[in-house]
Amino acid sequence: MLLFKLAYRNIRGAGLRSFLNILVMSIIFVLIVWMQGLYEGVTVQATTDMIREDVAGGHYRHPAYDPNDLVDLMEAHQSYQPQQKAVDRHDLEPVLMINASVYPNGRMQSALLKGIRPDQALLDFPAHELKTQMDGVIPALIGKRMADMMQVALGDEFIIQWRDRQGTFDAATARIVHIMTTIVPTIDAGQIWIPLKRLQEMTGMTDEATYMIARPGFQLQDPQNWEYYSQDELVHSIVNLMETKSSGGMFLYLILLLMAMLSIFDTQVLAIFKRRKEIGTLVALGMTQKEVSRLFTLEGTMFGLLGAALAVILGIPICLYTWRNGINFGPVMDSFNLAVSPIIYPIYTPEMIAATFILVLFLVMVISGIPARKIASLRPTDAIAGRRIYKVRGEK
Amino acid sequence: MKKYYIVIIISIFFMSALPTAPLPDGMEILKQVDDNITAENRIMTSRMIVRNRRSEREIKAKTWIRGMDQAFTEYLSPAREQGTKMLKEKDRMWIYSPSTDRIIQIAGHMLRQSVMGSDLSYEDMMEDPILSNLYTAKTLSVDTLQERLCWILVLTSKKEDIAYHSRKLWVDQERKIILREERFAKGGTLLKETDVLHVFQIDGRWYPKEILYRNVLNQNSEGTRFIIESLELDAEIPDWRFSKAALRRS
Repeated sequence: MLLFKLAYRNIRGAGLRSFLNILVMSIIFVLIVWMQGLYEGVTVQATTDMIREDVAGGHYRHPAYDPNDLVDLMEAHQSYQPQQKAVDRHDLEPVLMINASVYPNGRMQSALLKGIRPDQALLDFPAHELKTQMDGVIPALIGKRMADMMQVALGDEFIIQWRDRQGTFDAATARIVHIMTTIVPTIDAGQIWIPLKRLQEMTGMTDEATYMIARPGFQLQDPQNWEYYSQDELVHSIVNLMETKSSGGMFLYLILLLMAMLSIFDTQVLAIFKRRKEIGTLVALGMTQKEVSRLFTLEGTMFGLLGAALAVILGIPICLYTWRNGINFGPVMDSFNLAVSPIIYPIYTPEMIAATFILVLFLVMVISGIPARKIASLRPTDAIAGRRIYKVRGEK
Repeated sequence: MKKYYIVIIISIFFMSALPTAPLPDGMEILKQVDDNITAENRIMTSRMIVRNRRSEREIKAKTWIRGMDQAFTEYLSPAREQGTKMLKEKDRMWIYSPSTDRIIQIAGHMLRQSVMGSDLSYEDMMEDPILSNLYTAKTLSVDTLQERLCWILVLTSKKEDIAYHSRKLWVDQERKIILREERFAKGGTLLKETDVLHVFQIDGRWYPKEILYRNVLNQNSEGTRFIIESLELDAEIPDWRFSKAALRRS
């Protein structure tokens, strides 16, 4: 307790120097917690939106369907008649996909033509817009990204060219009946959605699908030739990506921590040098060198503790504000290649805050202890005489 | 005046009543076209001029062709494409790019990509050139194109796995060469047009000298001109030329 009181008094005595150290520590605490909260927020937001708009309870895929390699897409379709009852109950939502070329304003572009039932009930997806009846013209639903890419607006018509299951070309006019605003690129970029039945007729792939979306909690007893990908597996790529991005952010944490540790180490070395007479007096009065060393370590650690206390005062309003209102990153978020809105709502968990505080405080304690170790080998007479603790090279 | 009208009306009546010459069998004409174009071995140097609204590119190539199944193309210019080689073996195709030193098999949707940015796809190049193998032909009518008398043939695919469901050909009646071609989708939409702008004669056969290909749906493109600079028929081509090893050979 005596050591604690002494340490606190010494810190107060150091005035502005101590305050600056505490301020730097608190800023670093807040920054680290805020950044981690941001990464957590992006991960949760991306996975939640993806589940709601694309994944639902998981996908049953044709074995040849690989979203990352669409070379064999035209081979990746099969009948879902054995699962027809589940499809009728909307436990499964079939999606058929083919490659196509589109000609908006006469320009040729590649696209993925996807068929979905307009009355689908598993996804937060405006498929009902495809119910629009038009003579001969195919109703098409696209995302905002695709609309920008194609440079088209609502009501615009364009030609779609595709091949049927035998490989024969066909072409027809499509009209954009709805442009959806979605942040999930897997249902937007490069894709055109049309009614499933229509796509099946166009390709001659009656009652066939490339993959089927499952209702959360539903599982086929006998999936036959369908390969099941669970919700976790489908969002795993996002979690992995965020972990990679987050470890990139670790570099920034390290720089911040290094700065804080450098400041504490520097303060400690300076304090031991300036207060060597005091160290000698304390030892002469009966304190052991180890106790004096502990006193200095405690002083350093106290910078961390007081920094943490100030971080709570500074950080709570900042974190609370950003948690409630989010942070608008604008077009910067597009560079993340993730299904995230430009407004990010950070998520701060007690575990994450506690782990950050414990880690930083531990590091502060270790760093404060390193210069203080020198005190243990100090002779009291040398200290009282004001001799150096840290010797200059060549000095005896 | 009234007399003149009566004479004209009677003449028209009699002219329309005159028996017209029957149109020849479409399949016969198509076989003659195929016979004209077919040669065992061919070595050809060609230029391909790709034009769009913004730019024009010229690509030179040398092609060795054996029968209907084997073809080897080496791009000679521009510098960016120089050394790129393509090998066609029946229904398979490989492409070698010297910049990556890799041989890639062109398959699946890649076959639909354009060759060097032109209006031709790899698939168009892979197609069996013997049309009578793929289509049934019907003679539709007679027309004059480039001051030449032509038969208009309508081709309908024999099988279901043919890329273009139907085609319309303008065949030079005398030279048995296609002067114009239109390719249609299953639903009847016109997809591609081909016009033979110049022809030349070699070993008694007529060959296209300059062809203009156009993807009708792509309004950005002003077409691809394919010009044959030299053609050697029934030339000697060693077997190694049609091997994958030849792709890496400089």
